[in-house]
Amino acid sequence: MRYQVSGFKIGLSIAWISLTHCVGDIPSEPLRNQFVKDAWQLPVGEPVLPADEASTPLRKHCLVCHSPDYMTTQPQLTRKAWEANVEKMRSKYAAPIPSNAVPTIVDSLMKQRIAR
Amino acid sequence: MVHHYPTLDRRQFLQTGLIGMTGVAMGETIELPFENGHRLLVKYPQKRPLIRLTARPPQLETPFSVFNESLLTPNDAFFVRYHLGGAPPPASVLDTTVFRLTVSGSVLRSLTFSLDELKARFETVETVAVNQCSGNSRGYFTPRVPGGQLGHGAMGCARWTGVRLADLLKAAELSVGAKQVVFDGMDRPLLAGIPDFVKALSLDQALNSDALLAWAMNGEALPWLNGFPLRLVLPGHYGTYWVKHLHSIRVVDEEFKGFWMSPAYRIPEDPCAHVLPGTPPGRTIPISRFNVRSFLTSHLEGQTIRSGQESILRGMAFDGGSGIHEVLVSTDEGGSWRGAELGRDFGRFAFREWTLAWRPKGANSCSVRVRAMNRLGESQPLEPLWNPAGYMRNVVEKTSLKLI
Repeated sequence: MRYQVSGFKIGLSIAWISLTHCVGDIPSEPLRNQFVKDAWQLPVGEPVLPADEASTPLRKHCLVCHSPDYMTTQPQLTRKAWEANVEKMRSKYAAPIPSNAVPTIVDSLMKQRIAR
Repeated sequence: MVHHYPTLDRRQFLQTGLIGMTGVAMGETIELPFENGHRLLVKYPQKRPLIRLTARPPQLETPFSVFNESLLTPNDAFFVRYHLGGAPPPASVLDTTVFRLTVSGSVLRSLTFSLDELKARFETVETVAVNQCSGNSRGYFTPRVPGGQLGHGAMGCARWTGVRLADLLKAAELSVGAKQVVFDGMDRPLLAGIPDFVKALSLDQALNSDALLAWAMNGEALPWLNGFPLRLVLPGHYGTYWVKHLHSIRVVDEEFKGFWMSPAYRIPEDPCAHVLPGTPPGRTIPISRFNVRSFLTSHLEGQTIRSGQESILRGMAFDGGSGIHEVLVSTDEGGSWRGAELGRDFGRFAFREWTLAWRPKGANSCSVRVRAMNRLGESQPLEPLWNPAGYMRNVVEKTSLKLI
């Protein structure tokens, strides 16, 4: 349930960004400093998780906020260390991760590590 | 003779391994010299290909060879560090025709400025200063610690142009109860509830005339990914305080307790910010000034050098704002140290160049160690210090070379 609420919040957030886009796009005068707005695009694409992670809690709860390389560039960490990190995301960082998803997420994180 | 190196440490083209890529086709890669240090070099707007740590939000590291190109780090090679899923803010919200900076909170006069108004109202000043990520070199920590696994490339030195933060705060007039100044940029969290990236300075830090609100680096507008159109520049302090896309300055009467001040970005309360490896810290305090660091830049790890021929060793050193007093170099595993010649002084917050002529002897291998001392007499440890967040590495670095 908690996740659904968050999904709604994502929707709101995207709506906010779109609205701001509209405001910013009103042509008033050329941008100073010769900046070309069209050039300001991030490169398309990011690392993707293996297919067997396509519908796991890892993908569902972690990839909302950051790309998989946040996990896959980590050194070898103990299960305890990964648990502490997921817990930090939940308690300190307000990440909408249900507590019953944590063990599965940690399983996936450990597997990413071994598979690499 | 000064050695020159290719801009990038060229490696073979590599297709993706376990982690597939979408959109980004085959690219150049680099191996950082620690376990799991394989990285892609990726081109971003206004940037040359840089070492990508993470894609979303973008975190880009400067290839180390860049530090031998010039003392000032080129804008297109300057490192990029973001925290929030929604970063960087899209170009549309950064349009300088709609951009406004507000000063509010515990002040007698709330103020609002466009970029032009800011430039017109206050004296423009320039400072050459190093910006360095708190976790620069984290990948070298032993035992390894979680966090962004950076090599030495999350640092850079630039000439910053802007106005003094102190002048702005004087114009707004702080209330009697004012205790801290809080800075917020236009990067936003993706989900409600996730703490926005907001940083706080003590009044001492904020009123120090070193602090700038900068719109230019190295004579050009800030690149998008380095904070366009305005960022806080806090010379001598770690990059976490250099809030990008700055649009709100708020004076508060109490200590600001946001996530990015506590529990994030804190160090053990110890003169050297360290604890016994693998152990938790006791009391912690917010990270603040750089410790002393120094690097060899003219020769990269593993490079070949001619025995019996004179070479010029070159590099740079910096600290948290007292300035570099001395750079020592050892080519005999730390047995003896020679003083290097210091280059032009760009100010106490800048990279300070050093050079030393050296005629290596022997047949197989050798190493170069560099150790700097600042004007307070602070230096660098010969063995690395450790803390659980992987902040503030400043051990004497060693570069191993092959002799032929």
